[in-house]
Amino acid sequence: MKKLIALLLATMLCLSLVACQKDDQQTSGDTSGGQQEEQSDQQDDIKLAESIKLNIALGNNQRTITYQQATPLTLPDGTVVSQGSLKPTWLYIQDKIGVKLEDVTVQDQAASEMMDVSAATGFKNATVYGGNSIAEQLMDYGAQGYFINLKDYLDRMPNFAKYLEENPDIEKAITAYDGNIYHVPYVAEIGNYARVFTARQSWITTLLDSKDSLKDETATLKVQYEGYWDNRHDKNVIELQNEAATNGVLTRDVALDVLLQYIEETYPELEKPSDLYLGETAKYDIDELVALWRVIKLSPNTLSALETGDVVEGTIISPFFVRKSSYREDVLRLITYFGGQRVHGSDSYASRFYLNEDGELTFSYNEDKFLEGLDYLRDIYAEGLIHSEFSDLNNKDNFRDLLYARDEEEGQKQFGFMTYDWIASTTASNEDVVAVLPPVTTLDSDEFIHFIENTRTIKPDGWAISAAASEEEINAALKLFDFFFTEEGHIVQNYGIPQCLEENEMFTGPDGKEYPKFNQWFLDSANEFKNGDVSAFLRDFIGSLIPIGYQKEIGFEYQYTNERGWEAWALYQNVGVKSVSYGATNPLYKLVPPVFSITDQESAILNTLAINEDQVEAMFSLITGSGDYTSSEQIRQLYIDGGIEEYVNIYKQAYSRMTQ
Amino acid sequence: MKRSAAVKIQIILSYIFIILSIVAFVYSLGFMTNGYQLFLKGNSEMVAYFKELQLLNKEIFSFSIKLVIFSALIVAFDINKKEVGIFGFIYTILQTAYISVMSMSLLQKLPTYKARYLGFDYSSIKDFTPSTFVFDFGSLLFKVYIVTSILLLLSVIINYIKVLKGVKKSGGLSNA
Repeated sequence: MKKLIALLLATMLCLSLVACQKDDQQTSGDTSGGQQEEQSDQQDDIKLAESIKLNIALGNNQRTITYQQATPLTLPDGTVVSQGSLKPTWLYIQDKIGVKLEDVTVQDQAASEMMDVSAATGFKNATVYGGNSIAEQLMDYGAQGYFINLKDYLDRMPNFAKYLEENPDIEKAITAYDGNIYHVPYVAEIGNYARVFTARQSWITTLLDSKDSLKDETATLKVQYEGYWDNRHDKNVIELQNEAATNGVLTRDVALDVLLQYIEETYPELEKPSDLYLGETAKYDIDELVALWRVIKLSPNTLSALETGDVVEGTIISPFFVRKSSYREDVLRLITYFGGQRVHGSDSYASRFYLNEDGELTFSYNEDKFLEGLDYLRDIYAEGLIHSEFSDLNNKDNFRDLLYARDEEEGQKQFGFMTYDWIASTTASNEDVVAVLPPVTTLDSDEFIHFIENTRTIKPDGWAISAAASEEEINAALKLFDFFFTEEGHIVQNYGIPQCLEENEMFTGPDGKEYPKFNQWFLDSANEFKNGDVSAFLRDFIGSLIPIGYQKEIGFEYQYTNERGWEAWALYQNVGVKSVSYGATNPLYKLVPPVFSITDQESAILNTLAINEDQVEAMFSLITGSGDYTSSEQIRQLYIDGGIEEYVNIYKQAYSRMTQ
Repeated sequence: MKRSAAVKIQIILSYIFIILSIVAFVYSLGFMTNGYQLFLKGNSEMVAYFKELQLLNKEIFSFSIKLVIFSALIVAFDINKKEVGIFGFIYTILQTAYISVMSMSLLQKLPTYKARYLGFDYSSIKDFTPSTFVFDFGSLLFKVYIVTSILLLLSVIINYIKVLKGVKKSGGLSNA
């Protein structure tokens, strides 16, 4: 027995001696690509692998590059795409570049989980790794040597190299802390507005322009908000309404009369009161908006009758709402209109750094004006002017659908007035919904301007090439990456394969530019398979719009925008609503990178700090009055206790490296 | 049967070896504790040094695991109880050779890392007192290990030779 034990132990010892040897072997093609033969790229004499493996995880098996629909798709040329095959776009791409593409993705796996699992095996199971919200990990692992430095291979990606040359800010935004570029990002339609304010226009005209449709109202509102702008006009409309309230309680008639009188005296040039809020003449500020919200909140009978034909007892009006609770940080965007405080430096709720007027990277959520803004939101919420459930993360309802799209349903009692959301889908949700200009505010000077912070940006999505791949596989992957920056690749990723498009006809957008136009087969198929949701059809069935490294174009979205959506674009473009961009010279208008590349030391330090979603949760607790927080000073203290100073310093260093 | 003094020495040395293995394992686990401050708060040179130190730690940890296995084999071969047979004898030779080589390697590296550690300016790191304890302790530990291993080998050899002589005598008597 003892000899057996001794033998076992000796075996363990030998195994541990062998296992601890450093693996000096180069990874060969048989572990990552199945490459058995090489093929020559005729143009450049560069050897390409015959096939490469792609691991592109998106957390949803409908959205990968493999067709996962139970129903086969028959293309116009008769080709049948069935479950398990690559989607048409990817079949097209592999044909064009002459490299077979194998999808090795665990189809439902989230991208971050894919990265963790792949890191454990040294990224040896595929040539290309990609997905959503993993840019930081791609840069991090890249700096550790797991992905190739694309800068070393720009000569083999001439189109991508040209793209970077033309977009130096994009190049900076994807540069890791060691000065290298490890991933190609998904870049949204930069230079275009993202989300905008929308509202039911008939509510404004009905309440302000005539008394004909007004019903008797019994609702009351206890005033809390005291107004912000004390230097824009002689009088402040909120102060006027508050003074007119009886014992601090407002009725509809009092609120409305004060507002109408105020508009008449302050804006005599307007043809009608609703012009203060609607169309290109709009010039309302946040106080004037809150004054309108009060009138709206106090008019449930009038507004329910307007929508349904009869007064609906128990109607609940939400003057402002967000699409869902996970979008609750859209409420924080209102803080910008209390004196121009920047809130998000990029198109992400987690993007809480922006550049101040001196060009310094600044953490918005801890700025004085931001914290002051929280107190204003608290008061506005207390008056019932923000949808009561907006911040309840346990509530997974689609509030936009509930408050905009169900007016005609029997028993509907909840109606929303205004939101902040994407043009195409929001204007399509209700025929009365139109875009409205944002409230005016000051930003970089004392001049009042229309400003909207949310614009389309470089996304924290993309893909990279494993350093464990063979040279032939790397060459093939580089060819694939570069393809998306050719004219042909750009079109196929944005609009689908040629069989989806009109052959000799282009689409003219509201900006006057021409874009590839979807043909009838595509539109009919989108109706048949996805209830007309062309975006979902293009992504889930055709295989385009997947967030890998490419530049998205606005022409796709224009084609599924309705007339009111086009009017929304025209409104913002004609007025020239100011926004942020990568190329802005004034730092207050400059976008920051979507993610920052930090060193492992900095990452370790960040792990010792307590700057996280706890403070954000406290903010919403303050706004809704649902917890122990009654003042924004408590939020400030939370940040101080969490180590905000060191947190900001780390990101400042990271930003400095990226922009050198 | 009463054990001879030589066997008793062998037994004692065996248990010393086992205890040292446990000490070495614990040592390898705590090796980086103090050094982590260099990573967290140090400058870029200290961070680079920390990463190299991690490689040394990996080597020490791997070695300590083997020492624990060696300890188990000592028990399996009854080296901690009595005179060994041929397998125990061969095993002890191999064990001693391996430990000597590895310990000598570490004894060369530890002072080098210690010297580099002492070369840094720690004034910029708040609340940090540099300490060379891990290097000094490690150096002592592996020196003791080499000595213990060699002494154990010698006692095993002596006891094994005695066994061989005893077998010859009794074999001779039975043939008379």
